[in-house]
Amino acid sequence: MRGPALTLVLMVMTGLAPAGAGAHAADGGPPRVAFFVNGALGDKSFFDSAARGLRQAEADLHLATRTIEGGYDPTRWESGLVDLADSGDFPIIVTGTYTMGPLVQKVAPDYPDVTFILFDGVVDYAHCACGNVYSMRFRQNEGGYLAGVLAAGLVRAGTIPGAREAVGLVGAMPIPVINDFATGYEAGARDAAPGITILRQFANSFSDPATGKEIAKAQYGQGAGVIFQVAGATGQGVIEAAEETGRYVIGVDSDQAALYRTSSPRRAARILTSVMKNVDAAILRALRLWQQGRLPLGRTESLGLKEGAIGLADNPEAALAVPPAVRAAVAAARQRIIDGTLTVPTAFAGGRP
Amino acid sequence: MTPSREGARIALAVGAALALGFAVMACVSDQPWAAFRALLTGPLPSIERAADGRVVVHRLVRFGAWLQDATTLTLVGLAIAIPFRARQFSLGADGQLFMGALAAAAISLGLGDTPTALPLAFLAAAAAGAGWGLVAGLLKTRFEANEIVTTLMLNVVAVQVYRLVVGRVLNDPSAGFITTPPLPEAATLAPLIARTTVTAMVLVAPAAVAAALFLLRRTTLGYEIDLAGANPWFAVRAGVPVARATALAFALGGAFAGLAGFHVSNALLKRLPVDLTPGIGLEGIVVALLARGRVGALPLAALGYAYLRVGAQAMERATDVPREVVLVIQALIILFVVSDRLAPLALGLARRASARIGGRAA
Repeated sequence: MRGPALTLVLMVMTGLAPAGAGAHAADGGPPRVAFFVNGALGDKSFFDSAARGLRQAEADLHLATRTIEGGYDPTRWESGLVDLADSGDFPIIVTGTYTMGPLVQKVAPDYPDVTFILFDGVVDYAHCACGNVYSMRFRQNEGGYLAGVLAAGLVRAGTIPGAREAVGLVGAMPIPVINDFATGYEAGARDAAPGITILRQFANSFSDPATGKEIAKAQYGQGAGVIFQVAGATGQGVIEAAEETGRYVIGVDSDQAALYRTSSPRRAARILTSVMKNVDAAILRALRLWQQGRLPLGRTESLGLKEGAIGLADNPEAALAVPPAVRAAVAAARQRIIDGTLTVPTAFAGGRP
Repeated sequence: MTPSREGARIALAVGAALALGFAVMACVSDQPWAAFRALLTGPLPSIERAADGRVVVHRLVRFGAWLQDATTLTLVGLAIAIPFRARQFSLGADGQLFMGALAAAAISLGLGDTPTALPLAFLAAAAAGAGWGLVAGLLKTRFEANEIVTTLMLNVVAVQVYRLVVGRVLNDPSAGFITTPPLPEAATLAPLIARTTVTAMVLVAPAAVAAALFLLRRTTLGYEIDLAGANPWFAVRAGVPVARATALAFALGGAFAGLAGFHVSNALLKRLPVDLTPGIGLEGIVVALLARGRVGALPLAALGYAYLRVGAQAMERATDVPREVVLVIQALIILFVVSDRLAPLALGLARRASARIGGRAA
């Protein structure tokens, strides 16, 4: 069988290879931006938010964007990233998460002509020639704090049937970014309602809604009135559990109530708010700065409530359930964080992310 | 089946699958030709002559991804094909790979930057994979536990043990995600081709196949494994230690899956993340099926399958064909290639047609 099969391979190699060369060199058209997803779209959360930012950039900045889903197999991410940088088709590559940080750090120095925008991750500028990398970190603990104030305030007001003095948190994995949300959440809940029980559990996956639902049901069963889910696609299960038990959930990354509003209004009504990590706005901003030639390459920016990169989403359906006093407490906490009079504890070593 | 007929069968199956794949692409894509070309030429580097006459090679990384993928697939293919010689259907390559990777990383981190770290990590990976395979083998021969069930369950155990150890014991708290610290330089393999992940493991894979062939064809154990698979009752009567041979077939296969784990940990990732995805072991089944269980054909089957996988990724990157359709086309091609009756049917039709025309069969 070797003979014919080998001939086939050789035929393909010699005959067709040149046809593929330089099939799409960028000339004359708008600058092309590649977005490398180290996972898959459709999480209704983090990656979808980033993809929204790129679509926005296409409309507002007249850039041509392409989203490439690298899948969940980590052995393919490095070659996927190098492939994009090496193709010469994309002057800018956008990618995110702390997992991609070391890969960008490894690849970027080889391609000085390509600009890398790394969101929610960092490279070690002291140890790499990363003058072509711009990275953004988010102070998600500030958003978590507001979620904690809201959840604990609502539970203490005692208006949720069947709930006891407890709030919950379902995380994807105990990694610094998720822990940072959780640290802020717990601090907020304790400040708003001292002595409240806080349940915290991890699903150990970003893509397992079934486990998310199971954990959420257990926490609601233990009396949690509100659960803050910080779990990517796993969190969709938490939202389902909220719908089934008639309790409340706080979404993350995207305005998750808006995502369900038309498809499942009952589910949307259980989502008190979402801690928005405005990855979309941050990416749009970075691309705009790049277009104007003002992107601060070679450094990390820290973005939080003050910069509008973190915030709470408005969900009118669920907002009615929140007493005015609790809403006022959330607004006051927000103002104090922005003013700098309140510093939210963080899970990152060395204080601020 | 004779080699030439086998070749014709595969060529026909691939051709039919590509034709169907093209039909699917034409339905979903505005640029089916570009997509098709990306699928077929994606894994190959592109060589261009720049304006100043220099030759520029692009996309070498895809070529590298092809070889890298084929290396892993060959090794996990061995893990399926060797127990299959003893008529055992092992699905345990995943668990053996995870155990191998974990052992290699643990040894590398434990020994640090010493010259012995690399060979010892290599051996540890093979031993861990073999040990994990042996568990399934002993469960089968001692307790008659169905090997399909035990290997699948042992996969779950291995993956969770892996996650526990990476998350709790080997965890690097400064990393920002759950992972081991980077493995020491001396324990990792440097790339053979710049900017790719092709390492010396690309040579280890064919060597492993050669070693496996030698073992199966030229040693007593290999003969015993073959006998145990061909007719266990007869073999027992003839005094062949069937139970031992069967258990060792699992262990042997496991050793190669362990080496695939070494490839992942010490050559590709150079650190182990907690969410390393299971599933590559199951791809080994596809490769073993494509090679029709023949050990010597594994590298070719792995190269072919890896070509398809990388080409499909290239297609996804270069065109508007969505990822889901890419996976559908990939699956279609495999369905066609493993369909035995397809070729006889088509060849029969062709022969009848040529007989009617009176010309010679092509």
